[in-house]
Amino acid sequence: MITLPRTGWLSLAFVLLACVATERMAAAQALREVIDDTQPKLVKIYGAGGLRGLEAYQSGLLISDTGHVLTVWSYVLDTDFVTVTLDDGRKFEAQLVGHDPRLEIAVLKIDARDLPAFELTEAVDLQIADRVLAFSNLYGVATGNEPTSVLKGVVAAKSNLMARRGVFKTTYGGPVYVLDAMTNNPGAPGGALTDGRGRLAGLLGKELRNSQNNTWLNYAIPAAELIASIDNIIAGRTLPPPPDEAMPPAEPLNLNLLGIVLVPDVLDRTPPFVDHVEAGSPAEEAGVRPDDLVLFLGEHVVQSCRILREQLGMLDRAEQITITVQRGQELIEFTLAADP
Amino acid sequence: MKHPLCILSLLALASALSSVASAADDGDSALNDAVRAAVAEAGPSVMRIETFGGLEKVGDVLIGSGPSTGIAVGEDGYVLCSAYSFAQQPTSILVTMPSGKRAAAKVIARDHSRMLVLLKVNSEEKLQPAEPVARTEMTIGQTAIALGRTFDSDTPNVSVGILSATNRIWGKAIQTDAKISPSNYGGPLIDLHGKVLGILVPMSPQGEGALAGAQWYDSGIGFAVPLAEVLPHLDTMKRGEDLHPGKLGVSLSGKDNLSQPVQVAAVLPGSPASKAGIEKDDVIVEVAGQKIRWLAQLKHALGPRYAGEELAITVKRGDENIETSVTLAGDVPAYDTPFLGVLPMRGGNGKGVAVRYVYPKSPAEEAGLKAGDLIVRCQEQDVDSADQLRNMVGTHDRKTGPLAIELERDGKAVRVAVEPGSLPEQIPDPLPAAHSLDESPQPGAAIGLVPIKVPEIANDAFAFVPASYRPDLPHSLIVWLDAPGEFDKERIEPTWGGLSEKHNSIVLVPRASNVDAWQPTESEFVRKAMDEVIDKYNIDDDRVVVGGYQAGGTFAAIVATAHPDAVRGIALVDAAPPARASLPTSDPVQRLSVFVSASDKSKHKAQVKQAVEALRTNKIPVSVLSPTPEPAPLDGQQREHLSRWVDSLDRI
Repeated sequence: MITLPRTGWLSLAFVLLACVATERMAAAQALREVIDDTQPKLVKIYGAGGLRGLEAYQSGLLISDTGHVLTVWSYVLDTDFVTVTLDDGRKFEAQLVGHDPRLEIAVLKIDARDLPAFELTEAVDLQIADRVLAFSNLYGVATGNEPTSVLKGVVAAKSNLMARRGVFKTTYGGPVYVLDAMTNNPGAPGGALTDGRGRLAGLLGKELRNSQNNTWLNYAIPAAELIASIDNIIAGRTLPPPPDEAMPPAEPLNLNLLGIVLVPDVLDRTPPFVDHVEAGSPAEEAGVRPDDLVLFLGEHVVQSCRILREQLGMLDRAEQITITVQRGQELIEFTLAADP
Repeated sequence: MKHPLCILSLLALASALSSVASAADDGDSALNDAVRAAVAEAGPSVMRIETFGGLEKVGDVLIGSGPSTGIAVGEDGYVLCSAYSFAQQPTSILVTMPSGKRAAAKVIARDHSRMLVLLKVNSEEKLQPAEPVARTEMTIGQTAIALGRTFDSDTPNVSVGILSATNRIWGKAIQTDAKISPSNYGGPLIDLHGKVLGILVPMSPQGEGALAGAQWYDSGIGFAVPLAEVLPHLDTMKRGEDLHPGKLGVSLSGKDNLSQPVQVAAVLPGSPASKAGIEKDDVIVEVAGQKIRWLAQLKHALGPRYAGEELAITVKRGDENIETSVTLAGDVPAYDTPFLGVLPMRGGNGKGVAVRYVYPKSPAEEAGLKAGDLIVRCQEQDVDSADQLRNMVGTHDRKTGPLAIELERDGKAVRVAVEPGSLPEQIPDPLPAAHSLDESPQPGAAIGLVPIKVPEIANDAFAFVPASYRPDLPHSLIVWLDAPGEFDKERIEPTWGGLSEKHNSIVLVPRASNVDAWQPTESEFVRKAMDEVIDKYNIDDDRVVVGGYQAGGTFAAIVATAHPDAVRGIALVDAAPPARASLPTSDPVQRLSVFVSASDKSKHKAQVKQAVEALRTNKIPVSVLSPTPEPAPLDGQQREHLSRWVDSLDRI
């Protein structure tokens, strides 16, 4: 049996702990270097706003050594005088190169050279639970040559921003990284999301509420979604306007055509129960019955009588539709068409 | 350290740590992998739930209709969720099964203590039940991962944090700094092995109800109910029986959490405490093996207990320790506070309590008490103050017979025995003066419309102090909450001035920061503004009332429920009672009375009627004005009634 004096044990333990501490410090050092290397690639953007709670600033990131700045397209840029402040404090007046109304991004250009910049071709794709860093001028706290703020977090989810029509108020409906870091604050839009090594992963988006559960949404648009659009903007190619999804067809579908009468719509959110079904109608032939509760129209959730009417109004009457109803504890799917 | 194994384990520990640390160079990838593995392990038990229909708003909180989360707790279709997602009373509930198919589900039972709901899914498909961790195996600082299934994704949404505390909300919950919000309420808080520490719920140490604590979302404070402590009660819930918080059925003499000793002010007749032989004035010293020194400790000991659980309690009676056993109950009959039927004179000092007014047909009148009498003794004890007498009467045990009262009338001693009645609902006729003090001294404080500023809060508040204010006379405090956007500083004095003068009251009018709605967080601002006034002026703590018109009245009820230690009356004028908030019940120490005025055409007529009935069942006296033809703020005469009602709240 080995015996050591008490102090010997303690010093052994101390040495071991010191080893661990050194490793930890090395990791902290690495993180420090990553941040030091990344911050010069961020810029602060000042423009229009300043009224009624609209902040006159946002963030941006350099994507070329010759002064191309990627940021979000917002009211801040809606002025002839947009100022970009670099990490070293130099101020430039920026020109708008172009913007993409669908992604709500814009590229600005400042007259400078040999700038540190993110390499879009080296952008990375992230997985859920990956550690991330978010760089931005949150709340506009950094001015002049003060570096931007850094938040650390993880990727909470990968999801389509507009999984359903009318749920999120934005024209972009593609995938986003939902973040477990508080990036949904004034000034953050246009900031950079990077992985733990400082490689670009996405652009921090504009402030949005997740109207599904009425909470603020912290998110970034993945770099992969942006690259083609950035190339187009820089190359001066015009982009098609976003499709206007809100245009109803010339001859929309409605409940009468299907032969469904709902219960009277008396509440803000009256559940779409079927009151009765017209004899000989497409609904009756398909097997829809009174007291069925309509839950889905295709893949869309139907929360109320009003929403069902609105959603039908967006479909052409020639279309065949699928509805899912709840009858007692059963879910039943029906396929219907107004003109069989 | 006596064994060589220590070296080995230390070395192993060091190498394990250093491998994590070196891998962490590129962004904690070892931890990322560990988190992902844990998520993969627990993921199949995390269920996506969609609710359909129901209310848009519950109280003042806008409820999103988006998906929520639940945890599989039985392979045969049992899913546990947070009551938050069911507060809007959905017409239909769907659960997404592991195969991706949706199935209908229904609510089997509710846990009213921890605000959970048990669902049963109508499907043959098997679920993977979650594996719980016992609270004794949890360590503060360990990694804690919050999972939800609210985004359109195959993988649950993840928030990573640590376990911040293991014993919160009176023992019902653990706490984490992971981001907890409607995105993961109902989902699990898991450890790095994928085992479930708890089920995520909004909670608040003050409030009750399914929405309490939701204002703290994503704030660094999140709560989870340990799953291991709910599972033993799962069979009860599967039988369709709701779980209720276990109540003892005593009223305590102390008001705040640190008051000690924990002394019984009154035992509710028919309550578990009464059945166990606990008596008035007993001091509770031990519950289930835990020593009790102050009130908070008793709350901790009882907080996690359900109705039906049996507990050992030790009380100290005189010098004797008495051990007994109680079976906690979910429903305790409300306490019918004994009432004599008099109003005391104010501002006096010295011996006895002078009678200002005797309620018609009250026990006091029947026993022959008259205005001007001086009550000098009660139950053979000298009476020094109205507070003391009120407390003696209010906590009197009716089983022990009538109250023995000794009076002085015209210099002669009179003894009467009074069988106490119940608190009155009638508003007394015009009252005689409440004091016979000499000519007024200087007010000694600002009078007229006084701005009240609460440090670090931007809201405005104004207090109207009558010119007759004198610091030697206790005044009523009426906190009037206008509907948001209706605040008008110029109207305060014309509306309340004359009545303040007449009834010795100060009126405080706080302003909502938002013109659309009172925010639940503004309850704290109202309380702080009240405390400012109480600090500066002589306020009678028995006559502090919060009231308001429409949304202001609803918010007044929220403020009163959040601060039972400070508020003695609620005035609802054409106001809906807060939806699904638990209604207060009577307490002889923290008394509460309610004043209601509503129109026959009020939108809230049915809810008001229901609340009035429920409050009366809870033995809270409700004074209802005759209905007005149209919904309207109080007119001059009704405000006079309100002021007189407030003036009478120091009744004994």
